[in-house]
Amino acid sequence: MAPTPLAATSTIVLHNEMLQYTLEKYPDSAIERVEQMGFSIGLRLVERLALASTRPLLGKANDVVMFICKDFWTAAFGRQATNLRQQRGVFYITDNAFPWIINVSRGGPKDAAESTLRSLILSFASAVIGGALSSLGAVGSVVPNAHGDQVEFTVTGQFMA
Amino acid sequence: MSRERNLAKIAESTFSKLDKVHSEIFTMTYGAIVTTLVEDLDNVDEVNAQLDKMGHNIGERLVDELLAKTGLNPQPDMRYVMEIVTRVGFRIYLGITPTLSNWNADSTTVTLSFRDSALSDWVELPHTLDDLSYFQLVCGVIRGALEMLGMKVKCTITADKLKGAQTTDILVELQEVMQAKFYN
Amino acid sequence: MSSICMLVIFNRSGEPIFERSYQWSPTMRALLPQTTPCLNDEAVGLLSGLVFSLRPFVSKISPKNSADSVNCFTTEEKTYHLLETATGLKFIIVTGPNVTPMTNELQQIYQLFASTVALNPLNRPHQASEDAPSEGKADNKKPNGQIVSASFCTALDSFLTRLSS
Repeated sequence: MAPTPLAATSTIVLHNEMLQYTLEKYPDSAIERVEQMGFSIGLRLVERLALASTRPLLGKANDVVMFICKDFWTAAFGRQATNLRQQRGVFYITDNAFPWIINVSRGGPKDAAESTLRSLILSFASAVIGGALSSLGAVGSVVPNAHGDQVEFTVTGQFMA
Repeated sequence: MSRERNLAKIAESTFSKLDKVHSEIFTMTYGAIVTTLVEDLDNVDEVNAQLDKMGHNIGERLVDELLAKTGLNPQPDMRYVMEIVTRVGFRIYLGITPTLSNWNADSTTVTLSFRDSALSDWVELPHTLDDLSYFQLVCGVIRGALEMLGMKVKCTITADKLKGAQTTDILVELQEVMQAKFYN
Repeated sequence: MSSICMLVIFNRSGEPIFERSYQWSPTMRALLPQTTPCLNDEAVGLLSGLVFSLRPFVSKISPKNSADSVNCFTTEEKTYHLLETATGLKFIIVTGPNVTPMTNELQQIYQLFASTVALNPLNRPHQASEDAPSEGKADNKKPNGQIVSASFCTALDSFLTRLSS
């Protein structure tokens, strides 16, 4: 069953509503909550992608990460990741203009609400990626590192093969 | 060209220029939101109210992108605006084209119907959530969008596919065409 | 086009929610933002009132169902280019005289606005000042929908500079 495409913006606006609701209601546990939600979203998204995929999704690290950078990134963020680097078993996925944080701006780095929200979005996104990896048999961590709108996700983990 | 075909053409042309994601991410995100709200809030009425409020904010935000990208600039004419909302808005943002039916004589009420949607693919509601309005978000979106376009409307779900109906129907009733008031 | 001196945005109630003034720098070949406003507060207020009455005026004098609108008006010194959206936002570019109507450019600025402001969770441009208590000082007259967005300013500045060169 071919997946239906949708404009990326409705999903972004939807999860921003959820993130802001969580921040307002649970300021102290917002990160944990959104990470839980994100992980389950990523996990189930890849399960669906796997059902629709004609290629078998192997457990080999390189294949898994490639799938994440291309198919998964397009399905979740609307385009492929910009760059992939590997060093001693650790993968670094870069997106030069990560769609979920571009335009989340107000007063700049000194604006506390802006920094908090941007961090929360990145925690959420990392959890979504983590859930996706988990669905492909990988267990590990995804850590975001942002320079403005350019984000590098460090992926460390155990892959099935 | 008829107005409907023109809007459909605008929808396709605008859609082709936008970044697109898979509907599943929308479905999953919405499912996670509903699950969390059900766990957090004491009763189902509060969940429905929160979904409506989120929908309202979403509708409010998406309208400007829709108008900016399509170049459409409608007067507060309920018929035309509802056609834009369904043929262009829903098509681009939810991947569905609902049908509009049962317009009343002075075009102030209409029923919007859809069968499938990115919101509810594969969703099954347990019986404990009989009073949950899974599509309440859509009501909020319609309300928010129309309010931005100068019309206060009331939206009521009159049939719910997740509760056994053939289609999900939303009754949209115009309450007021808003007059802008100068702030000074 | 290097005579662009200001962009103002009013919300549905006519409150100014964004103002940015510019001056062309021949040495840098760029349109540079200025802190001294091209129009002072009083002038902006009067402009708002004028623009606010244009849509109802045009709809009264136009044949029924036509979608007529004012897209610019000029004095000897300045031209005011206007785009009013169906959501009640009014985008106005103030330039020198003898500039052709910038309707297309305004539509493109609306697109920039839509992605950087409307979709930005930190901004809520349509929130009128009566809707919620103002954050901050009691004498803060700024409407709650005041646009503060570094990415809108950056995108706007480059767009207007490209137009001017």
